[in-house]
Amino acid sequence: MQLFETWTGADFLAFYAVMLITCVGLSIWLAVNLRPPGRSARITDPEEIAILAGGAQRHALAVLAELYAIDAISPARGGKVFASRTQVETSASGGAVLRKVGAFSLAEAMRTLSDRSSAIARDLRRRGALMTGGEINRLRLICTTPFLALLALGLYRQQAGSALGEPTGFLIALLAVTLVAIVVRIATLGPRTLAGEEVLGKHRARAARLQSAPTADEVPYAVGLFGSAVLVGTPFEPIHAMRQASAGGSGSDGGDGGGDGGCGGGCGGCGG
Amino acid sequence: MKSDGRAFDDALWQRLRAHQIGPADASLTFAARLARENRWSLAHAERVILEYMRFCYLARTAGHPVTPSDAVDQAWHLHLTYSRDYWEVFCPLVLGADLHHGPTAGGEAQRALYYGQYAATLKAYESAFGVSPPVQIWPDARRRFAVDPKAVRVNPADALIVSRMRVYIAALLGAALAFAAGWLVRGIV
Repeated sequence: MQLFETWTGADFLAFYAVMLITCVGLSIWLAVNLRPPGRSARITDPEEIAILAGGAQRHALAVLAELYAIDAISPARGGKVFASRTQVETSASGGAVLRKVGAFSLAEAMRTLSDRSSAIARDLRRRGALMTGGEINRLRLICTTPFLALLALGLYRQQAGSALGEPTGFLIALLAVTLVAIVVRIATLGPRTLAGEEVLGKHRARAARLQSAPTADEVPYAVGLFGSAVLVGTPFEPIHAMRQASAGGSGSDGGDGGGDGGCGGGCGGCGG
Repeated sequence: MKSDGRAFDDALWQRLRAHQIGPADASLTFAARLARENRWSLAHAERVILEYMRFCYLARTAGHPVTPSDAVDQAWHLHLTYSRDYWEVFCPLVLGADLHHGPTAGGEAQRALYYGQYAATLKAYESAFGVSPPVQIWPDARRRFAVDPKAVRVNPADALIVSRMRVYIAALLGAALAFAAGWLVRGIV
């Protein structure tokens, strides 16, 4: 006897859709609650925070944002930048990037910083803020198991329905949505332990203002914490354009943002 | 990032909070006019006026030029039209200094300058008042410098004004209805 033999296609579709939503909720709950606890660590260095929040790419963006904010690099064509001023006071990572010759992309900056990024990530794993590779894989498996079970059930019903000559187009579409959900779940599962999440959450809560408009000296920390999207509408936007170019988006240098019309661009007042 | 700001016990802040712009018994008060001109609720306009007073406090105390959000700027513009109050009472007796309004001259350099001032203003706000500026009134840089400057005066007698969100919701509902109708008619299931 077949499972769901007495269910119509519409019944099963409704059941599958409800189960899919349940799986999304369950997967989020599992990701929050079954993370390894890690160890509480004091993390204040902007480069460490960037790695904790967004990995090697975020680290490279934070370093580039720091260099851009002190006018050490300038935009070039195709979403690239070049070192325009090398005699500046910067971090070891910033110095390494400034030694690059000619225009370079975000991916090239990441290659330059890869050893440094890896060393910081190793240190954060050792201090219990990031999960180890085994822990990440285990959590991925746990969080995708509900989707995989649902996918197996849906495939079984699709095969059975197909054998009986029933239309299964909508079910196939839902199976595709389930596959996308699995990919998204794997791709968005942060590598932080519970302790790492807590440290990052505290930093983000304290620095919420930086999401609106960071000052030049706050730019590396803001990018490290929240990503380069905080630079949209700021004079540092070319760094966000680099990330977009690396993700296959437009290669423009950005930085337009308008704001020249009328009085809207801003109004200063004397300090009296 | 402190739990409480230093401004609240300050004499300057007390004077600013107590100042009433325009006659309180006018049939169209300053807050009501600000609300009408910007299509805001009265409560939102009153909150913007509070933020305008905070901006004025920062202009006097931050130690650097300050730049308002667009909403606060609208309150400032309107206050400037109450010129007797602004120049004869507010600046000399409440603020204790002339506060001039300086619009941008346009161009990338000015844009960078005003961005820097805006960011510094938000930082000074947090330091003075102990809380982050409310994002509904002090929005992010994208909104402040790329979206808000596009605002124009429109008379509702000449144009139909519909929020984009309502158009999107209507389009989404229309598409969902068309899809459901198609499904029922074709009897796919």
